[in-house]
Amino acid sequence: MKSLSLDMKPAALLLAFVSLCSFVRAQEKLDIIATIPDLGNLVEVIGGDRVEVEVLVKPGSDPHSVLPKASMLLKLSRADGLVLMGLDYEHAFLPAMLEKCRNKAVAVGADGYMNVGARITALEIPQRINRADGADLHPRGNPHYNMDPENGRIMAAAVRDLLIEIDPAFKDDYQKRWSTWNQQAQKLIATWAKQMAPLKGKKVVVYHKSWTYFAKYFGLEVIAAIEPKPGISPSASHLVKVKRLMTEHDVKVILMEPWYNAGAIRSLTGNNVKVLRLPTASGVGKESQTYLAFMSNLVTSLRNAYGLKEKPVNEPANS
Amino acid sequence: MKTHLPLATLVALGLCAAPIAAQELELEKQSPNTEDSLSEAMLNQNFPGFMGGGGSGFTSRFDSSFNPAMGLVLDSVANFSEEVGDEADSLELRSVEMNLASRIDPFGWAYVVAAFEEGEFALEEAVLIMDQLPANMSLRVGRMLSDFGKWNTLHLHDKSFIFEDGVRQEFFGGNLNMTGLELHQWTGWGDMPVRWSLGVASSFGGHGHGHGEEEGGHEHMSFESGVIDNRGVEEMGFNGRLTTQQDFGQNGFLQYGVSFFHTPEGLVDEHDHDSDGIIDESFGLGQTTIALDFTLRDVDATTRTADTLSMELWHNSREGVNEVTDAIESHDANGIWGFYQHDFDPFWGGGVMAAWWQEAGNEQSSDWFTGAEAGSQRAIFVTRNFSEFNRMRLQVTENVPTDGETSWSLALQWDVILGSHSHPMDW
Repeated sequence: MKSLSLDMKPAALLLAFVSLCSFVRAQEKLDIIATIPDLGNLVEVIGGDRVEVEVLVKPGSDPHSVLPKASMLLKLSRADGLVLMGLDYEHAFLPAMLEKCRNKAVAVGADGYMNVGARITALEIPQRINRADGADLHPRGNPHYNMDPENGRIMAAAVRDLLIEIDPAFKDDYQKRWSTWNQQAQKLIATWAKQMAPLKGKKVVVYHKSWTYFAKYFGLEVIAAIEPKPGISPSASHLVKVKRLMTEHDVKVILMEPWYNAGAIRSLTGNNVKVLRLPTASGVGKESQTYLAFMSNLVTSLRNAYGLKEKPVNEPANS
Repeated sequence: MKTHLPLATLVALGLCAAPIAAQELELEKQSPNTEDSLSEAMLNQNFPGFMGGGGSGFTSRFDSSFNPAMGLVLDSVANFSEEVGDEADSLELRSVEMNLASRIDPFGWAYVVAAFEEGEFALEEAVLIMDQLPANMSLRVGRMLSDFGKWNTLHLHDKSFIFEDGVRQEFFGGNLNMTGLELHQWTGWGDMPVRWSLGVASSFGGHGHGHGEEEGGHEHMSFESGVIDNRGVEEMGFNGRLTTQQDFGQNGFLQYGVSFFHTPEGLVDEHDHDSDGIIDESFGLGQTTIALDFTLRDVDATTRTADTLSMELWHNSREGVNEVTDAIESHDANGIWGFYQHDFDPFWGGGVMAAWWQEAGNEQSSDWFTGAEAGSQRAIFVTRNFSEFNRMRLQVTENVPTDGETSWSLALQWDVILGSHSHPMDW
């Protein structure tokens, strides 16, 4: 073969250098910030070994209590992608950091910015915004949509789209991993629907309105919230009202997150009322490490609370 | 406080105009699709309210998007004190603070904090922030609370206790307020976040609500900038801060910082030797204050409990005029203050605060913790947050001024926040 002429050598070297750079870049992992563990798990599952995920709200944490820290700001400033719940779920910590981090890759509207809430049909959108209606107000609707497993599928699709958008070279890989996960999710959702069918119409009391989507999807009826208004702790008179409603409707289950004070609702327990202290996102306990496992655990816990004790549905190992 | 704007304003305008002019020039050089590019740029910068270039009929300028978020803070304090004086026991609406904040254009935003206090209107802050400078730098121009120590940029109603700490009160006369400019940058040294700032002030002074300052408590040396003749660099104030933060536990941080404030001759001492009301002699005096701060904040988001421990160690060197020789002498003084707060949940919290300081400018304050008249302050407080916007606090304070008797007070504070609010970065 004829050797390259002298004039061609710099161009060839340059080409080789560019190729090497592209190769190195392709081998670098994407730094993705996910605001809650559910989204973090979906990024891990769909992104595979192409991604490094940092979750801002640690498992079992109240998102309202998360501190915006300088270390988070630094990570956000270096991230390739950001996936968030939206609907003001991250109001306590994300807006300040997004403003300060000045990372155009994850700025609002950028390719690396994925607000999943924009794809969700939100429930409980307030008719008016008034401080008299509570402290923890969400003008765009209830942000706890991850509690509806069908919304989980929307979350997964959003994660897939984000990864494809910022890393199109690996589109097929992301598509394939999402497809596998989606099939597993569909099967599990069908099973959960069957398992929860006997509980349809059951009346429950919730502490905070985090269970709206879950209750709607599985046909539970929320008759009262222990918080008189979102973000406001219950008064004695409000607890008396809730107790009366529970008696009237024969409520046997109270659903509340672990971070709320169980002592405050002691007067509501007794008479075979069970308080289920369940997380509203994955990552708490070995049985809830993934989003699908977390949802399975919720279903199992509800069934157990009502005395329906069958074996939980085993989640496939790679989900 | 006197205000002397011209020099700082000129410098500020020069610094601000340069990046704006450069960026406008760059934008005009863009492709014919400039308007689309700008719209995209606006989105990327999280710039609310931008209407594109077409609305006004001009495409080479940004439409005004001034649509300020407005808020109101009502800070009421009932104080029952054993001190003597007309205002020893009082029930007052201590301040009504109004704040406005808005992005002005893609390159900057502004906020104003104005307060009605003791029947008077005071402009506490009026700041333009150019937050799109390169390398994560930003420039703050106007009247502002200086970046000094961990807590100086917080208004008193945002702090954990009712009255200003005695060290700040002694050395600065309250929160250090300045008119000038501050350059800020945050960056990462490896995985360590670092933030620094440098500022220059054409005028400065203290602003605060210390305990006992109006009830016949100890007299402070005036801490307000002044000018003898024409303003020079030596009459300006200079401040700076370097701080870093590291993670603590799952949802906490440790923060360390060092700050300084220096003026070569910015404090003016006027002497009327024959008491005829005519100033016979004026002296431009210097002072330097350095502070080390340490803060631990740990929020357990799984139980919604939180702990905050913060301490600041201050060293102040202030010039004074020897009344016998008329010679200018420099004297050192030290102070240390801190507080600890435990939040049982988002609704209940409580803590203690303590401060100790040497009298500023006292000629005997030669040693770190001895050798001068010292003041101290101890307080215990309980806070009830009815919501994020409605808070009540009870505080018992023991106050020992440098030249007075120990006194006790019981204060009840009620704060109501109306309108917009945000959760800023805490560092």
